Amino acid sequence: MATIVVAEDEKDIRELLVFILELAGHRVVAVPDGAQAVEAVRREMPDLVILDVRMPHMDGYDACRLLKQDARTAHIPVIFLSARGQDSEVQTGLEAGAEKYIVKPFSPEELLKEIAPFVDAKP
Amino acid sequence: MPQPKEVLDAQTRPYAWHLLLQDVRQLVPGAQAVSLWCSGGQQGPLRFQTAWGFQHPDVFLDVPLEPDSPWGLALETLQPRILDRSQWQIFLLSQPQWADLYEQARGAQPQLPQRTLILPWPQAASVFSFDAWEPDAELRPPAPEAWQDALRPYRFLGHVLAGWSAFARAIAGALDAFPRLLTTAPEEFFSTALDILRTILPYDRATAWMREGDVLVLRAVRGMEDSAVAMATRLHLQDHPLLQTLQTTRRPVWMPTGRLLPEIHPQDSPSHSCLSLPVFEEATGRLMGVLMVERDVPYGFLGNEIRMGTRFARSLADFLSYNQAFQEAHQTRVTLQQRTHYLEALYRLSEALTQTLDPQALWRLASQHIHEALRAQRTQAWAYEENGQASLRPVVQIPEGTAPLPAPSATEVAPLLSILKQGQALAILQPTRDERVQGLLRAGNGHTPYLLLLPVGQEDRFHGFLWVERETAFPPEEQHLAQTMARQLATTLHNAQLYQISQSLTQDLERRVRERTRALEQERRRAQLLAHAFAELAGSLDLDQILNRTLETLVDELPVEQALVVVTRADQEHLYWRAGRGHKRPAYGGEPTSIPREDTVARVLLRERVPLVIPDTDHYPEPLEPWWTLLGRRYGSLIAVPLLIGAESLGGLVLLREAPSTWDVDDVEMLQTIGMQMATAIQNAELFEIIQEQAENLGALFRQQQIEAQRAKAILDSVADGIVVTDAHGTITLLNPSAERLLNIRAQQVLGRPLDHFLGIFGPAAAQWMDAIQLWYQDPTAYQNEVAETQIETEGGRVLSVRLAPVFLKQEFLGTVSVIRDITHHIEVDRMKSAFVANVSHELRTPLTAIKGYVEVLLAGMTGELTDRQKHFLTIIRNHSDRLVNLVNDLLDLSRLEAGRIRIEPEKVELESLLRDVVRDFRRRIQKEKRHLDLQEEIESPLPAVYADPKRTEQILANLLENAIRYTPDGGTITVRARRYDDNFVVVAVQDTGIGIAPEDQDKVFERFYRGHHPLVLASPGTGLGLPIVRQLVEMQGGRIWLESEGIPGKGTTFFFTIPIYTGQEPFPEGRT
Repeated sequence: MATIVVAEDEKDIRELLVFILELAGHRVVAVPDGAQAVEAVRREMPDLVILDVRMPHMDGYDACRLLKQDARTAHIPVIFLSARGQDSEVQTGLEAGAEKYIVKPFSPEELLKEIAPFVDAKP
Repeated sequence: MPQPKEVLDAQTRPYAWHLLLQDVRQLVPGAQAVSLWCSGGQQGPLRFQTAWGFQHPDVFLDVPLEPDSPWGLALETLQPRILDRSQWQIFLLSQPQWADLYEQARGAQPQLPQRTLILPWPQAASVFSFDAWEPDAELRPPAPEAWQDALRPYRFLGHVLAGWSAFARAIAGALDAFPRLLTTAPEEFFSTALDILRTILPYDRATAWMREGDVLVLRAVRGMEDSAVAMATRLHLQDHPLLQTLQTTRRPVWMPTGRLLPEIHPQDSPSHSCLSLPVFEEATGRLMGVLMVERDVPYGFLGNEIRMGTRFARSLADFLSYNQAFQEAHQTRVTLQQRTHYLEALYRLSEALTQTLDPQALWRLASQHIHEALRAQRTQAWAYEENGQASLRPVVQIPEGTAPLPAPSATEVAPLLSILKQGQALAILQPTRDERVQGLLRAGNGHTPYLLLLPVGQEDRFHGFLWVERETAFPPEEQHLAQTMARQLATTLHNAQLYQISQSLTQDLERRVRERTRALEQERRRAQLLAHAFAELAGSLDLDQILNRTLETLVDELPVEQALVVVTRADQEHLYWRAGRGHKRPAYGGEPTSIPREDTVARVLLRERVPLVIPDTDHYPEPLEPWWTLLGRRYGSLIAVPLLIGAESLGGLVLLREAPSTWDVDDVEMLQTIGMQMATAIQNAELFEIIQEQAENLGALFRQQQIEAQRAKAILDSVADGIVVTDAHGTITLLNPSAERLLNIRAQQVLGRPLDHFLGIFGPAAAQWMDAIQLWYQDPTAYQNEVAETQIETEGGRVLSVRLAPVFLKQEFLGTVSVIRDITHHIEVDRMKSAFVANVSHELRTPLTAIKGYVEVLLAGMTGELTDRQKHFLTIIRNHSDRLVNLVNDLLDLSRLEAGRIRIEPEKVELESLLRDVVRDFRRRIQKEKRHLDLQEEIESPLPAVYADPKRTEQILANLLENAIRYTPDGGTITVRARRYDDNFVVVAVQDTGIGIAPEDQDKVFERFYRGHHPLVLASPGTGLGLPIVRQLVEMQGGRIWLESEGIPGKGTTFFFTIPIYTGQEPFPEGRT
C-alpha cells in the first residue's frame, strides 16, 4: 500500500481519482488546490503526488517547484495530470521537476499503469 | 696585378673593389651573390655601389634602400641581420618593386633569395648584402675578428665611400672643363669629352659615338688607338641590341664581366668590366650619342661612379646641342649678310625692270645693276639676233663713254655661243689661255683678269649675253646671283616680245568670242530649263505641285502648247492622267483615262521604254485617237519620253504642238533627263506617302501604349497592396505609394538601387525574402512558376506579408514583383482564434475526463457486475466520448498548425527504421483490437536518409495507417511501401483494400471536416481533420501528398507522400509552394 497525495480542483474528477486509486489499494489524500497539496505532502510524506495544472490559489507548476526545491520533499515523485496538453505546457511541467505528464482524459487502466513504477514496490 | 692592399690610388682603385668583393664573399660560404650599399655618411638612404653574382646589377642603380629597411637598420645598429623568406615577404609588403628588381638583376628564377645576410661596414657607412637561393642555404655571419681583419686593408676605400672627397674634387675639375666643350670645333668635341670623363671615371679604354640619322659614328677613341677600330666606324641603331637598350631605357648598361671588343660589340670577359652611357636629349629623349668605357678588371665600376658617369653623359648632351647651336649660329651670321646683299640687288633690279617694256632700256638697266652688284670693272652686253643669219650686236657698255668692244662675227664665236645657249653662267679663270673666248678677246684690249659670261635666255629664246670682268675671281654665290639677274632680264625681254604678239592676237580673239557666245546662249537656255525642272522636282514632296510646276516650266520655256504626265497603276488597265499644263489639265490628284496600256504611245513608253517623236501626226500610221479624245482636240506634233526608274517605266511625259514640227535632238535628250527626274520624284513622293502613313500608324500605336502604361501606373498607384518591381539585374524599378507607406520609405530613396541593398534596411527579418531573390537571380528559369512567401516585421511592430514572384515574358526573365500586404490584423485575429480554440479545447476536456473516467470505472466492473445491456450502452457512451476527445485534439493541432505555432524541426532521419517501428506498433494494435487485417511492408533497402522532423513523420504515417485500418473491413490488406522517388525525394505509400474514395471526393478529402458519404466513414469515429493535418505537415517538410483510388470498394486507396532526401545541407526553405 502506498500513500498518494492528489490535487485536483474539479470535485467530480477528484472523487474519480480517489475511487480508482483506493480501489487499487492505495491510501489517498485528496486536496482541491496547490497550496493544500504542498501542505499535505509535507505532513504525509507520501510515495507519489498527482497534480492538476490549473488550480486556484497555487497552480500545479508552482506546487511542484516548491516540493522539488524543498530537500525534504524533493525525492517524492510528481505526476501532472492535466487537460492542457500542448508541447510548451508539457515542457513547463517537466522543467518544474515532475517525473511524468499525463494529458486528460484518461482511462482508469491507463492511469494505474502510469503510476505503477512509483507505487508497485510498496508493500 | 698590383697589390691594392698596399697601394690605393685613383688608377688602381677598381682593382681594389674587385679584390674587396672576392675577400668578403670568401668569408660567407654559401653566398651566391654579394652587393655593397653605401649611405654616403649621412643618415640618408643606402645607394648601390658594386656587386658580384648578378647578371644585371645596374638595375639597382636607381633604387635606394630606405633607412628603415633591414639594410638601413643593420647599418644603424651595426649588427648583422638575416632575412629569411618570411622577413623578405614583410619587406615586400611596403616595397613590392624589389621582387621585380631582383628578378631583372639576377636574370633567373626564383627572383627572391631564400636567405639574405646583411653585414655592416661602419668605416665606409656601408653594408654588404649576401644572398643565397639554395633552399637549404645557411648564411652565417663570420667571426667579428675575421670580418674586421678582412676589411682592414680596404679602409681607404671606406673613406672614399664615406666621404666622397676625391670624387667631389674630380667633379669640380670636370665642371671647370665643360665650357671648353662649347666652342670646341665639332670634330674635336667627343675627344675632349672623353678626356674630361677620364678625370672623374678613370678607364683603360673608351670610345665615343655620335648619332647621325639612324647610325652611330665613331668620333673618338682612347686607349685603343692602335687597334683595328677605324674612326667613322658606323653602327646601325636598329641592328644593335646594346644601342636598342640604351635608346629605349636611357639608362647606363653595366657589364660587370664584359668588355668592348674592337668591333664594339660588348662580350663577356671574366677579367674586364665595361659601361655604356647613353647621351640623350633631355627634352625629346632622343639618343644623340654613346660613351663606352672599359676597365681591365671585373666588377670594376662603383655605383657612385656610374651615377657620376650618367650625370656627365646627360650634361654632355646639353653641351653637344649648345656646341651645335653655337657652330650653326656662327655660320648662319656670315651667310645671312651675303644673302641680304644679293637679295637687295635682285630686288632693285626687278623693280627697275617693271618700269619699261622697251628692249634697249631693259638691257641697259640690267647691265647697270649687274655691274654694280658684282663691283665689276667693265660690263658689255651683246644682243643676239637671228634674222636669217645669226649676228651679235653690242647694246650696252659700262662704264659709259668707254669705247664698245668691237663686234665679233657670230660664226667666229659659234662654239662659245652654243655653250652659252645652254643657259649656264661661264666663269673664265684665265681668259688669255681659254680657247672658248679667244674670238671675243681678239676684239678686246688684251688685259682681262677674271671674266664672267652671263647668257640672257637659252636655246631658242636666247637674247644675247653679258660680259663682266674684274680683278678678283667670281665665287659661286656671285656667279649664281649674276645668273639669276641675267635670267630676270631674259624673262622681261621675253615678256616684252609677248606683249607685242598679244596685241595683234587680241582682235582675232574678240571675233571668235562673239561666235562662241551665241552657241553658249543655246546651251545656257537648256541648262536653265533643266535646272528649273530639277529644282521643281527636288523641291517638294507634294507630287501634284512637283509635276504641275515642272510642266508649267516646260510650257513656258519650250515652243509647246500642251504638256502632260501619264502614269500606270499596278491594278488598272488604263493609263492614269497624273498632271497637265497648257490647254487642258486633269483634276487635282489626277484622273483616269480611257487610253489602254496597249495604245501605240503607251506601248512605246511602257514596254519599249524609249522616246517617241511624231513630227507630223497626220502622217503617222498608228491611231492616236485616244489622245485627242483625252485632250479634246488634235495636235500636229507629239513627243513622248518614258518616266524611267532603272529598267522600269512608270509612265510618260508627253508634249504636243499644234503645228507639225521637227524636234531638236538635244531637246529630246533633255526631256529624257527630266523624265527620269520625274520618275524619281514620283517614286519619292509615293515612298513619302507610305512612310507618312506608317509614321501615323506608329504614332497612334505609341499614344495608345502610353495611355495603357499610364493606366497601368494609375492602377498600381491606387492598389492597397504595396508593390515592388525589380528588373532582371535586381534593380528596383517601381515602388508604388502603398509600398512607400507600408515600408515607411520614399520611392526616390530606393529607385534604381539594388533590391538587396534596400532589404538591408530590414535586417534579418527580410533575410528569407532576400535569399529567395538571390536564388532566383542565379537561375531564373528554374523557378519560373514559383512564388516565395515570407513575413517581415517592421520597427513599428507591424507584420507584413511579402509574396514574391518572378516575371517572365516569353521565357525571358524580366525581374521580380513583390506584393506587400499589412497582415498585422490577420495575425492578431489568428492569435486570438488560436487562444480561443486552446481554451475551448481545455474547457471541453475537463467534462470529457469526468465522463470517460466514470464510464471506464463502470465498464471495468469496479462498482459491481453490470448487465450486458448496461455494458453495451456504456460502451456507446465511451466510444462517443473518445470521438469527442479525438476531435478536440485534432482541432487543437490544426489550429496550431495554421497559426504556425507548430514548428518543424528537421534533422537527418533514417526513414527505413522509423517506418518499420511504426508498422510494428500498428501490428500490435491490430492484434489487440482483434481486427483481421494483414499489415505488409515493402520497403526498398537501403533507403536514403531523409531530412525531416521524426516526430511529425511518425504522426503523418500513423494518421494514414489509422485511416487505412478504419476504412478497411476485416480480411483486407494494408501495405506500407517506400522507395527513392527521384534525385531529391523519397516517396512513402500507404495502400489499403478498403472502401476507396469516389473520384468526385478525392479533391475534398484534404479539406477540413470533409468526411464523404460512405456509411462506414460516417460510422467510424473520425473527425475530418486528420488528412488536413497530414497535408499541412507533409508540406511543411517540403514534400507533397496525393492519393490514387478508383472509388470501388475492395480496390481501396493509396496515399503517397514525399520527403526530401538528406543532402547534408538544408534544402529550399519553407514557404515554397
